[in-house]
Amino acid sequence: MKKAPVMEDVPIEAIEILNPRERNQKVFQELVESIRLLGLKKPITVAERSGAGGKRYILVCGQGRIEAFQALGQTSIPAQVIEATDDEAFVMSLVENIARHTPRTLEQLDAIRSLKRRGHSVVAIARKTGLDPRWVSGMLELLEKGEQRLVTAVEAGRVPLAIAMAIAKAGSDDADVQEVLQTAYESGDLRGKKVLTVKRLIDERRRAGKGYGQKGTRQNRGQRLTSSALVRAYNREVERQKMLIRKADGVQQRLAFVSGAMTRLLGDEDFLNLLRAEGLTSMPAILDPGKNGGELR
Amino acid sequence: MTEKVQIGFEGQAIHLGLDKLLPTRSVQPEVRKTRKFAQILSSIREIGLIEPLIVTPADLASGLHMLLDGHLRLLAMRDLGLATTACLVSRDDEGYTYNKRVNRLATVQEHYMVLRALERGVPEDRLAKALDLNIVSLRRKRDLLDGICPEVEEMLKDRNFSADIMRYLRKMKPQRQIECADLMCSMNNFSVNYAGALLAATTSDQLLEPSQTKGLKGLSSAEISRMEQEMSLVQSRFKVIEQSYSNDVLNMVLARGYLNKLVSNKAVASYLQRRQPDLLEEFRSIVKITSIEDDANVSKVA
Repeated sequence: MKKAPVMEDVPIEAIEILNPRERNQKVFQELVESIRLLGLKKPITVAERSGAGGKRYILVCGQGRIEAFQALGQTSIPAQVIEATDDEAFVMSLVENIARHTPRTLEQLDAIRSLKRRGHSVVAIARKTGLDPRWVSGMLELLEKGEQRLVTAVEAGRVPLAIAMAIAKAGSDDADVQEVLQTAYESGDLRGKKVLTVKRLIDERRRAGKGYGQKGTRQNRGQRLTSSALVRAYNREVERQKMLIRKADGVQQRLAFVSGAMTRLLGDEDFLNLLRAEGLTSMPAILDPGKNGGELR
Repeated sequence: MTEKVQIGFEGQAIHLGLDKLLPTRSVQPEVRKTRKFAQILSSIREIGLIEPLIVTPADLASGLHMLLDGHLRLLAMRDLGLATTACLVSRDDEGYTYNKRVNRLATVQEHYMVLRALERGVPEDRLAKALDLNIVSLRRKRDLLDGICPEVEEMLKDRNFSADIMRYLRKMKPQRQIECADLMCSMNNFSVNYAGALLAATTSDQLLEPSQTKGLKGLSSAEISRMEQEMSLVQSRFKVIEQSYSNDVLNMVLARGYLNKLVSNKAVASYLQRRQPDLLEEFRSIVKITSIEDDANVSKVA
């Protein structure tokens, strides 16, 4: 029987990382910020080794937390000290990294909902988790409405929260949803590739609904490659690419048509006067024959 | 002077009966069928729990602790018939941050960790057992980057994919490997089948050993050559539009917004009705289009 683990404050310089890993810098920065704000949520795990110059330790798990502690100027870190051989430590650290379920967004947000159910206010939840209170209340509202698709997109940073909320508010009225997109672009909330992302999200939401339905958890065990599966995968991807090409062509043709039509119309002095009278002279650059956008003289 | 980081848990771990733990989130029963759950279960069976579960202090009335972190491990321990486990008592009652800050191990990183462990003499079967892998899959992880050019390693380093896709990539010359990896990234498809399809569509002069067959059984040479041609055509066209597409969509959204203002304005609409009825009709049909899908299907315009 092995000794039960002991909790100790261990000097960071006495810890050797046997099997270091590189990590995503953005996620790491979030970890540092979370520890700075909320503290260390769980100890690292190390195994003790006796060395010449005092106690040494090898790391079992917690490389990210150690590095975050160093980034925050700490010299020691709370650790659970266990008994383990080098082999065991290697196996354990791999297990900790690999045999681990990456929770989906909706599972993660369950923890927020759970706090809400237990009677915590939005402000309290924000303080406990280091999240922005507006983010917390917005996400709770979207979840309440069953907008799982929007929630996932916001969490992944694909769509700003404010826009997701506006889309949810617009409900299923296409014209309103379109209006949201337009306003978001004009106000500068949505730029470049994001427009496309949001547009796609809106299309998805209309076609397949707000939620994801009861799709079982994905299993990707033992994909067997057969020639027919291969041809199917090939056809599907080529079809997807062709579809994108068709869409792109469609959009391009329509744009060309619209801008041609506008050039023709704007050459008509009566039409121009009418636009001035109705206050409609401000148009997107693409439609303006002068291509400089903004107001017509 | 740097500030001392706060500690979010109480001193020593305590042993609690599994029946004293109250989950704070629902766990779908289907999770038991996933690969990750099988790995968690088998790792607990082989080497035990590594990090303790995180719980709240006991509720005075019921004596139960709310479980903040470790829902899947709890399920696995119950399935294994364990009675008690090590728990740490948290000083807060939120369970959000634990999962949120997990830095998922990318496939390339996993390869390096497995490789290093095996090089340091950890027995293969031991590692395989703890991770619920067979020896062949473990070796496939170890040899992941054999014959793969460094550019592809760099492109795929943050991704998660099956080690099997490398079996196909490594049959290609570096230039073609890069091309295929690029395509997989831009289509966001890392399936084994797609990698196989890409190999099928690779001309023999881009293979490392042109004399060898591609190792794809059941495909006729006519089929393969059709795939080669079609793929190269579609790919070059796809590369071109990928650049301009998002810009065009954006302009279309803006143009459509403006056209909407025009056709919903009574005076303008009636002017167009009199002078340019065909344009008005087209404008209206464009305004009605609400998804990019339709842009591809409606070919009425232009």
